[in-house]
Amino acid sequence: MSEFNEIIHQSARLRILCALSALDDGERMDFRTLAEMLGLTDGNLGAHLTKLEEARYVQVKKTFVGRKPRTSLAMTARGRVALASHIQALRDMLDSI
Amino acid sequence: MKTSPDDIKKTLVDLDRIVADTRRAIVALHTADHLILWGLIWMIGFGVGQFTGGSIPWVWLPLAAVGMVGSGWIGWRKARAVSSPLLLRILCFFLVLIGYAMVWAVLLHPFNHHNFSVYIASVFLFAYVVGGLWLGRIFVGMGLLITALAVFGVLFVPDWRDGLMAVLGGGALIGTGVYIRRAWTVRE
Repeated sequence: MSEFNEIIHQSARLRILCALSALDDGERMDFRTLAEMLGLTDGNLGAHLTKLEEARYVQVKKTFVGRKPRTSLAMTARGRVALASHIQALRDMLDSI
Repeated sequence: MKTSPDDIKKTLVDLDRIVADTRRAIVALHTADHLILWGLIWMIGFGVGQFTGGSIPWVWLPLAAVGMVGSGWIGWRKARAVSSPLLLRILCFFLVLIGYAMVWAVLLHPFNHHNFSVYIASVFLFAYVVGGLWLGRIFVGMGLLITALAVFGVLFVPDWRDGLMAVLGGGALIGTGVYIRRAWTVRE
């Protein structure tokens, strides 16, 4: 099944989801680690994660380590399906041209 | 939405690259600092051995203790960057490694300068080859390189064996750690 997804197709959001898709089941990535890996500012990453969380493609968990807040991220099953579907849609577009 | 075929091709290539780069970056996150730490320990342990006529257990035991505490601290810190169920497997790996080191320590006792150097190299070989089965060929390569250096030293330059291990073996570990820390990132 393929479906072009306007939410995912934005460049930074696509990179965010691809990076999170590299995590194995049960793995979670720290917010700062993801920002550094992708070369995004905290504000930029935060804004995109908000959109992805609203679409239920990403799970954002906030905890405290001592007094320091920590945000960890993982892709949801819905997000994996949406990403796979979007990638298939891109391949289908390429095949049809 | 208007997207050219070239744009789509480039996007698909970029997506595959980002997934592969992220996996490597996670491996680098969990391994680079350990390599640098143990490279320094290697340099100190074998460096002292070169100047004292051979590797000495009373130098290596505290160094190994420092290394294990250091690796534990590094592992704890990095787990906050990417938490993973793999960490339990890594803990089991360290327990197996300690068991391996203890079995051979008992079998080779009493140590002399000659067999202690070889013993140290064999423990590192075990660690990097077994670890490399999970983490990548570069670590298997490291284990084999260290073994080759140890064999070369024992056979051809026995008087400089420990110095060779300190400089080349320790240097290789540190160099690999620095390299993967810098190079295994998500490329733009």
